[in-house]
Amino acid sequence: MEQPPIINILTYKLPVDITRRIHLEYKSRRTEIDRIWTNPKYNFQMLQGYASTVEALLAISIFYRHVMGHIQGAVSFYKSVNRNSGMNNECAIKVGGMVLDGQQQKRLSSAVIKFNQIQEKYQLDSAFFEYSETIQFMKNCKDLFYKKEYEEDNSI
Amino acid sequence: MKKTTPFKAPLDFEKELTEFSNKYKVLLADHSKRISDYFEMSCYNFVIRYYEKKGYKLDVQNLQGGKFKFKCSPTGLLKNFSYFKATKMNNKGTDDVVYIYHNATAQSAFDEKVFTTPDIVVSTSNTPAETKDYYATKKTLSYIPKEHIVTFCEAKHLTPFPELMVNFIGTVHELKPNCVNNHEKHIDSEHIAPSLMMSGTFGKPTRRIQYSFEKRYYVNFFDNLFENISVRWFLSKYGIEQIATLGKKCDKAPIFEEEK
Repeated sequence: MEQPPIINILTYKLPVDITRRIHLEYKSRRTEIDRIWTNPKYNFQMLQGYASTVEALLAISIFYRHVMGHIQGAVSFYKSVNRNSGMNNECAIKVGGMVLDGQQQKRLSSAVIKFNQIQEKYQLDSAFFEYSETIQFMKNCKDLFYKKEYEEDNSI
Repeated sequence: MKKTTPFKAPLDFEKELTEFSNKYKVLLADHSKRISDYFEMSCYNFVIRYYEKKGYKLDVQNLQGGKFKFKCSPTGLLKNFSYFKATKMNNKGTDDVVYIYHNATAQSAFDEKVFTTPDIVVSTSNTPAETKDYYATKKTLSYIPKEHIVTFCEAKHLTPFPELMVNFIGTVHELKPNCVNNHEKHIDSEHIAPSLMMSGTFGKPTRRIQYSFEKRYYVNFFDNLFENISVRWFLSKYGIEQIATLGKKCDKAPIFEEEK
């Protein structure tokens, strides 16, 4: 069975309003990518054989800006509150009806750490997610295309 | 660890993204309902960490039932929500103390009956004023009086667009008019200048507006306000010096040649 597109996998079960925004942006940019590819003025032909990978990168970058980036923000704020609460035990955060407690923080941190590991392994630095126009995204993809593989020495 | 790229290991890349989604989809779906609040938290956290980097000691105040109660909307009395106190010993040997609130209503600098609610307000007092004269229903409004407002920030989970940025200057004029007035004397200060924080990225037109406003006024415009993008840079030793304060304009290098 053919795998669904990465954008569908990443947005599965997300609230409708967020999914709609993500898919709208994805669809619009994907159309732009096709236009960019057909324009000989732009030199991105080397990426045309990797359409599925470009789509996955587009999906993850939009997913980061709509979801993961904000989850990282919540994790960081929890740390700030607990660093400065003056309490020996954990200080949960109440956000409307939701409580961000130590258990939730551990789960969210786990997701953030895993996402960061993926970024690190595939050399997706923070600048990769920083684009306004789709042409900048394509430039980021092109830079990534020419990056080499290497073994990082983690020994002490 | 072997470093690769999605172009060199495309199947592995897609497999790992799928596994990530399968493992965390329920968790992320639950928390996605609060994404706008989490962005505002990020912006609030940025201001808190800015003061930490400037040497202030931060303390959480007014816990509610042992929890930090985050104010998610403009309504509600400030005394029922938590906030941060920032303290620093100044040159005169006394403490410089400010209080950092989220979603605190602020009084206009020009008209005591005009109010607006920025996302973040830094105040010299932690006893907000109250009035029953604001709402037709006589409900109590708690607010920061103009004489206590140090600075403020707006958080917008949006891509920057010209009207958003221009309208922000209107808010600055209403609450901190000296920040848009070059004729006023601006004394040295470490307090962050009124700032607009956005989750999206500047395009060429909005980058130009950013450059023009930051050159003219004591304001900051931040884009990509995410932990791994702007936040890390602007809280670095070099980045923090570029941020405008109440006494110093922004010191960022122009991005485009034509902006010089």
